Amino acid sequence: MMDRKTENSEYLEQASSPSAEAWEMFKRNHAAMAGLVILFVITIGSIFGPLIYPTDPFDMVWAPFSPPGEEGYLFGTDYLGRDLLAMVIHGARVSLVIGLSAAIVSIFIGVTIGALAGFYRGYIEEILMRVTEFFQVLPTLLFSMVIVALFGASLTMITIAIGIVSWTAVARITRSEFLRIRELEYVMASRASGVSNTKLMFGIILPNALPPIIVQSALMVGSAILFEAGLSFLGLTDPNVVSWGQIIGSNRQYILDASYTVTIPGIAIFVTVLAISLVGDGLNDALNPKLRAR
Amino acid sequence: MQADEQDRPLLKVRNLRVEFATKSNIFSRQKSSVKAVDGISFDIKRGETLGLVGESGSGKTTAALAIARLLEASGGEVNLNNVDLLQLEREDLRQARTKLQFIFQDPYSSLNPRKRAEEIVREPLDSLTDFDQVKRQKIVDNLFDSVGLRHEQKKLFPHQFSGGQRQRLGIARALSTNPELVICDEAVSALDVAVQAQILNLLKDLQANLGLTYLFISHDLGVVKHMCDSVVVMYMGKVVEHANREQLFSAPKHPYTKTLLNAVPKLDVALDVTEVQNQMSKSATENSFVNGCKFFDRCPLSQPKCKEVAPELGETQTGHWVACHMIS
Repeated sequence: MMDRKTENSEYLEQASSPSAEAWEMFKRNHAAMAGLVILFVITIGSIFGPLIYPTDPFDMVWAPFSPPGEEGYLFGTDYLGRDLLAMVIHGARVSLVIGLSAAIVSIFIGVTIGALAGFYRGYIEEILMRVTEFFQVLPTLLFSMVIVALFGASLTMITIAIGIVSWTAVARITRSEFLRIRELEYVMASRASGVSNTKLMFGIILPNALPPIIVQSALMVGSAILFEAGLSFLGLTDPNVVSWGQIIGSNRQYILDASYTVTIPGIAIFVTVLAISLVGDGLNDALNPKLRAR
Repeated sequence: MQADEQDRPLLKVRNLRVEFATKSNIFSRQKSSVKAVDGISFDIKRGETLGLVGESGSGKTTAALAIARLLEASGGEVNLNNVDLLQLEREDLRQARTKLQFIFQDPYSSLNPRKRAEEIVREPLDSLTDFDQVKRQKIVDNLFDSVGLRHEQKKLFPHQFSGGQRQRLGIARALSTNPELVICDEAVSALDVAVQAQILNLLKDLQANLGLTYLFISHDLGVVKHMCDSVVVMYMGKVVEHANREQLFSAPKHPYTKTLLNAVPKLDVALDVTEVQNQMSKSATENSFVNGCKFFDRCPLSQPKCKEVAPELGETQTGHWVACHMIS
């Protein structure tokens, strides 16, 4: 009896939630942790960087096309003689904010549509999935260009444009998770307990459907940053703010003469998206119970 | 008056039907459906246990889900305390759920992996009652006591429990709203034999203490014999025999029931495997669309008549109902 009690108290100490277990698993993944650290540094840099390095990215501080290191300008200057380091630091904020908020917009649209389709099935599912397919076959870049061209190149509009063209994957993942989970007995048990449909959808099924959605969302932040860079490169951006893509876009004519003006912001995008992808992969492993050592 | 109350059945199921539409082919206009439950009727008296037995695919679970309104029935009546559950909508239905709860087959998939044990047990209270926090907490504590779980385990997640403990949680959840009827859908078949016995005894004790009525679904005839006062045997969506326990196990009448009882492996008697195999070898779905008796092609007594006309359930002796042309 005594034995059993001590055994049980040890067992109780291990009491951990599924999310705590996932974090344990995530911590063991070195690549993902490296990605998380890089991402953390970039985020902190984008928040506090402009305070530490207050040079205005629009100021013409020195002669154009001064190579990196010259005259104390670490990344050199661009075709207008603007400090490239200041531009990269100040641009980080815009790139990250647009990447994050566009991902949030598309997750919101995608989860809502996928959840409704997967939960109610029938004609609601038919309609919503046809809509999803419609958005899926639209040429995304062209469609977002049309939106930005029509409604003006403000940051909000760019965010919405990116969100609107990239929610389809989330909707499909959410729907398939809902289709699977809604048939499980614990959902039936909640139904038998008189839980309302809204609560079933967002309180019972969604938390259990989250792992693949989280993974997809992490990757979507990366692709939204790339998308914003693409739009900026084509000149569809707010000319009064700096973003990494906009730096590349405005310097692209001089890519042969001063390649660093394009390479440096390019590396910034690459490192950020890579870090996000590593974190996304880590999440994928950590949240996948099949890979979790039991 | 008191006697009336006792004798009146708690649950009356009449002509319950559940059909699943099979997806119609794009080239054919014809719509077809599978009759999973094809007009079954039975009563359960207050405080008794009715066993629903049959092989896999006979419609037991479908019938139970339809009774609990977890699946839409195509027709019939399910009267609980003289209220037809099938007619209830929204709020009335939610309120009716307090009186009817469900224990699920699989203790692993029937508990939400993201909720703590106490949240799982409290869920029906949270959504169906307006008790205050203190009272809910007290009910949960009492339930943990009565199903034999320790209070320190309240904060644990389902995966930290063993199969038997998980089923105890499922039972506690089902009892939280103080129901009158509990539907046990294969409640012990996922557990090993020693744990099965514990859970069955727990269910029996709870029945004695709380005056519960069980609809007990199982394919394990040994368990049914242990638990049930009367037994309904289903075959392909129809009731083929309905009798009290003694009559059914000592003098089964329907050829299907006899086959089913013979198919139970016994320790002391060598099972005549070939005989059972001969009778059970043919696929049960082959003849699902014939008009006659569904058991026709597997039945040792079958006659040409059986193929043409479906037998009605008839009372052969008091309280013993059989659906077979050859028995009357």
